[in-house]
Amino acid sequence: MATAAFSGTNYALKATPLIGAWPNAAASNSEVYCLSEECYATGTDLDSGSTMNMGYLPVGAVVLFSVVWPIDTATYGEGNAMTNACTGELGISGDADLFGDITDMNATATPQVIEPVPDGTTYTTTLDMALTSTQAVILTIGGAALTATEGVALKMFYTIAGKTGG
Amino acid sequence: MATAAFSGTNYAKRVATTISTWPIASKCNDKVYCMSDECYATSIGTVGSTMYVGGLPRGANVLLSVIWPIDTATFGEGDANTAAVTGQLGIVASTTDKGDAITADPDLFGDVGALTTATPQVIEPVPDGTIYTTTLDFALKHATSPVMLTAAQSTADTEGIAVKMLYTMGGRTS
Repeated sequence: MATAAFSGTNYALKATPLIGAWPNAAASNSEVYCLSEECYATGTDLDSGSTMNMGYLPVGAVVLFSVVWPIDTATYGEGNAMTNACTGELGISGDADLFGDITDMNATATPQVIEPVPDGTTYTTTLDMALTSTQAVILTIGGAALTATEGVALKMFYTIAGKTGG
Repeated sequence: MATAAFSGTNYAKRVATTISTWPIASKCNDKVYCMSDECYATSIGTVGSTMYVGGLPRGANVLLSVIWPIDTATFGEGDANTAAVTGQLGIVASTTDKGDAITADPDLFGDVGALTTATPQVIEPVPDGTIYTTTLDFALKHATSPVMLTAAQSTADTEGIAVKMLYTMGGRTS
């Protein structure tokens, strides 16, 4: 065997003088936006399988990655490890883990960086995941029951397909 | 128990059909800016030393920060500190050009774990429960230079930190 030089998807598309072949800015180099949200559990119905509505993404949003951490109302949104070993899936109606999988949130309060999960049908790469309609972002809790007053803080970084500048 | 559906702070506000109840853009979905800096110790910095990194404008709403240890020998690449230096990233008491007092909040932007691993750390803001009671609404009243206050161990000469602070701007709409 020997070494070789490999080209990234966007690198290859941009290796041409014809602008028509270049990738959409949102899929390669574009302005970044952030969705911010905090959601706390309340009441007594807290079982695994509960959902948290985590803001909205606009039509055309291409999610790059997300950062999540566990929180408690007592500490105002600062990282605070959960009582129970809750995990989670971040996605939309019909594709529960489109934006990534969250690991055990009682092991640490440290923010987790999670990556999108293309389903292999509609989305076959993380470069080209534009939403075709405005979507509510849904976090589905797994692993264990939530605890009242505990919740999740979320920062989702995304570009917007079709935009070319400020 | 049973399952339930909970709503985030911003989600709940955006369910309304009247725009006046929606959160301002910088608190929910807005354009992101990044403040970048590198700061090196030029002598041994004992515990309690301060590392000033760049500046944030008035209205900056810090989302999160990414920080890693560096050494002048490796030009800003992640390079574990010699000692287990930790820190707090925040602001120190000062006075603006107009004479307004800026109140100290040493860990406003987060707590830095031991810098003995070169891997970048993602750190989240720390609301103090008085001025700030949520990470969604953090707009700075005055322009200021963030400061890392070192702790636990002395910082070695030539070692330091690289910082990327991601923020939105309060009041901006696009």
